[in-house]
Amino acid sequence: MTCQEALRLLYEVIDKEANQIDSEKVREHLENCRDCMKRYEFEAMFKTFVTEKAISPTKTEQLKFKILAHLEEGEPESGGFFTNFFKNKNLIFAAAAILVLFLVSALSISQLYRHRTYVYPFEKHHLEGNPISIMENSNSLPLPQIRDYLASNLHLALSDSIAGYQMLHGGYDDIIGHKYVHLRYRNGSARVSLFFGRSADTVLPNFQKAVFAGTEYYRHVCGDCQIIYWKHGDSIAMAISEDKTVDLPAFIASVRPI
Amino acid sequence: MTNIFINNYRAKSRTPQVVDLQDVDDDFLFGQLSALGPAENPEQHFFAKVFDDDVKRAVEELPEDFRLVVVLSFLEGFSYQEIAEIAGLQIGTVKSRLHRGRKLLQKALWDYAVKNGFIKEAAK
Repeated sequence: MTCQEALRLLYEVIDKEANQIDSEKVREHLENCRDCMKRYEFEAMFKTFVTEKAISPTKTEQLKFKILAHLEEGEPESGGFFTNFFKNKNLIFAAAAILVLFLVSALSISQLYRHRTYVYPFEKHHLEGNPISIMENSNSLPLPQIRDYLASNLHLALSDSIAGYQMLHGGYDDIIGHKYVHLRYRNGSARVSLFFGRSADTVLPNFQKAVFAGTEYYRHVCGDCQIIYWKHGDSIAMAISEDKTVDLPAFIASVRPI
Repeated sequence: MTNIFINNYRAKSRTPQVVDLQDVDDDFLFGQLSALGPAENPEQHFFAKVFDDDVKRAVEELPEDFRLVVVLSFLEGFSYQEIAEIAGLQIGTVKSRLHRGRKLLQKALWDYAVKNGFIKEAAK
């Protein structure tokens, strides 16, 4: 088999679509031809690379899940109540337990809902009739549209470069029914995501209040990520970074109102 | 997700797309990376530098015809035969679109890496 023939069948072998005779011939050739082998290894690696990278949730998506998981963990400990009472099998207390449980869970659901509303605060109607058209099946939006939207609705001017970070891309997202606009910035390998949504007058648990350069904000560090959110008029803005060394307060201080 | 791609594809399949592939060689990315010199594993370096988001974007920005087969093959793991049935294509067309889709993807990621300074376009 010549190199040309082997390369012609290369993708079929990688995709496991070549018949047995062909793949054996190609493999035989590869074992004897260093150049073709290198090319084969590269193309196989490329396929794995694209599959893994494109399938895995992005870092920001992973962060969102982390935050959600975190918020859910922060609920009142109704589970403990539940199991303890039923382990005792004390029927006299059971009725009382159910009543308490009912109240606690009702409370925790409302708490949770409020938290989620706060983190993912954009409602559909908030976007309707605005310069941003709601795009189905896609959460990517042209940057000028996002800028226009933020300028006219939130009176925010965002430049292409904030504190050394370059604006990468942005979009409009829908997580469990809550809408928000996001923008991603990058400085070398460090990334910051900005989210903008409708505000609710709640303070998230486990966030510390602080002030930097006149901007009042709330900060939380969980595991390997840090989150900052701050009020902007009647909206809420949030910055997330997976890198603890990123100076988020300085970053958000550069997000200036018009 | 598959359905979205299929629907989009069907909606757009009536307007044929013209894609200029003349300047994309078969071994475009491999050739470029090899040209960077014998420094250890330019491929590894390249793969390590490109972000998930960028790969996703490169896939999303492929011309519709190529994106469909690439997504069905790479991400959904369908066989050529299954893709042919889903997309209503001949098997030969699936093969050639997958081939070209790969090339376009490699070209896009290369351009991206050069633009962002991960790789200095040395040899030309």
